[in-house]
Amino acid sequence: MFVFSYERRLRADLERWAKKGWVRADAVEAIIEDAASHEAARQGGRLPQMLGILGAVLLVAGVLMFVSANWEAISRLARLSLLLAALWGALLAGAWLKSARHGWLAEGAFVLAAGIFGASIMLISQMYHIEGHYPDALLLWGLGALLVAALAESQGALVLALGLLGWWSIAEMLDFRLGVKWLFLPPWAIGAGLVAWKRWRLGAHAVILSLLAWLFGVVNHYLDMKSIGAGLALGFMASLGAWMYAGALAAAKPARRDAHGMAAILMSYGAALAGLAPFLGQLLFDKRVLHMLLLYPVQAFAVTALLTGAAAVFGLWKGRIAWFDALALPAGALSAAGLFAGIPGGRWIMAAIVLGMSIWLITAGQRLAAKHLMRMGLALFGAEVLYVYFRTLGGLLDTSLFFLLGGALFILMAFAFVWLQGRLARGNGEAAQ
Amino acid sequence: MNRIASSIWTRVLLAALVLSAALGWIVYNRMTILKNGREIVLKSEPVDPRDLFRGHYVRLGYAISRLKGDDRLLKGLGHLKRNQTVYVTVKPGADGYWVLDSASTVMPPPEDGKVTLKGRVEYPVFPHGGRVSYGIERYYAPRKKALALEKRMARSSAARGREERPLGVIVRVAPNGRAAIAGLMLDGRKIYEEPLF
Repeated sequence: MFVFSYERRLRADLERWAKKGWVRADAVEAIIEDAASHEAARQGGRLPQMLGILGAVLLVAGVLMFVSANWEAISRLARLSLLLAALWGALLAGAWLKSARHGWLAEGAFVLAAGIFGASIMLISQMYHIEGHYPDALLLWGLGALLVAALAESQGALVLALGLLGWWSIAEMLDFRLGVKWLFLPPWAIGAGLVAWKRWRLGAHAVILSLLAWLFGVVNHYLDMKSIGAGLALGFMASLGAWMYAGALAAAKPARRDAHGMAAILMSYGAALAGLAPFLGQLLFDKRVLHMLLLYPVQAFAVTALLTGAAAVFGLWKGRIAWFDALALPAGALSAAGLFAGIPGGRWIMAAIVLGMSIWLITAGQRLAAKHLMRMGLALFGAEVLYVYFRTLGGLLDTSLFFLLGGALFILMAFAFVWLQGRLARGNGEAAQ
Repeated sequence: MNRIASSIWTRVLLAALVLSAALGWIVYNRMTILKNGREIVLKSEPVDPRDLFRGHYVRLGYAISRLKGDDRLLKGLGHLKRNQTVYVTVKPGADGYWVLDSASTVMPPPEDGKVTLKGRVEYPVFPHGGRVSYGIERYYAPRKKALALEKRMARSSAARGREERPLGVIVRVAPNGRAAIAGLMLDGRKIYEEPLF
């Protein structure tokens, strides 16, 4: 339970503060009691809302079952009217709820309306035995949901729209191999603009994740074509991450050590993108692509270096990123772009960079109090060790040497870190006295 | 307050209108084909009767679904690519079912007594030809209707011998080559006619 764990943490903190004399001992119980009752009221206040939503779900399910049981008995004209009536009903109900300031219920109605639009497309296809190119239906549905999101200012509809558009682009690029779908970008930009304007947090996740889905399709397409575009797209992914990371940190309030709200979301995804892109690059540029990469123009890598370098310089100039960031971001982007894939010993350079990126993610997570980044860094570290191990089963001597050197280096770093921390703590203690 | 309320109503009404128009457009497109399209009857390929009506739709295969490279009618079609558009022209056959006449990568000029369908290459077959779909490969049938259809087909098969089960698919084709299923035929008789609405 949240209440319990929050209470327990609060109690531990308060008792420590009481010992230091910052909080009066008799105030401790009063504060905990107040926090607990406040939390309980917060949770309890949601109950009627939840019951209302569950009731609406039951009603809708009942109507759906009744209609589907009698679907075949209903004439086509009546079916079409029914679908349109449901669409209009949901939209108008949403407008009424919104003007009556029932924000969450209005949100539910708009998502329902966007869902009914999709169901209508499918049911009409079924009625007229249309067997089309199925991504077309996804595209139409996604654009319809985006329209609802923009006009009704509905975050839920926007998340649905971006999910559908991402799915559509992936279906076109991976399933049907129809090339890069640039058509994804205009509606995506509209969605991103909406999120920036409304400061929607859930929407921000959807904006980033849908773009990633699209980028994945693009990388895959160019890899299929054995083209320079794959390295460029991965380099772009890492550069984008670098900019998101540096930009979000620059935009965060200076007084805080940790980032909050939109900045936190952007910063986390930025770090994750920049950190994971080199690993992805390493996985994708396997032996068959390696010799192709040698032919790639250096200019392409220069673009990547310029993009990330600019992000690093921007972050340093704003005084928000550490020197370690400024080093990690361009290195990661360049290895993601496959710069080292073609040169002799490049595999080891890339592995070292990926391990470096995992350490960077851990330290960034620690610095910014973002646990998920630390966990991601640890996972990346483990994955890379396994990758190197399995890739080089033939030359285990090399591998063991690599790990021995790396392990020794990490232990040295750990000692240096502990020593530095101790010095800093002593320094602070002396300063305080 | 009042202005906020009125603007959300206008905007939601606009959304409702645009979405309805999109749905209406799909229906209108189909209706025009069904109402004004040229009618042809294609013979559906024999399908394993046990698999025929499994699920909510029937998969229909046609002779023109497979364009074969050695076919002299397909000369000039060249090497097909995935998702490429092909125009396949059919003419009435001896038994009333329409058969392949020619195929082309561009829309041929209209000819008396012939109908051209627009198709999409699902996958090419080396060196020429490939699998083509026309958007008429699915017939949605609810369980009751499917079972009734299956029974009729079984009776027909028993009367005619096991190997031949001629299911005719009535297709209407618009001048631009878009095709829509208009009904089903068994033993030369219409058994289902799709209503416009």
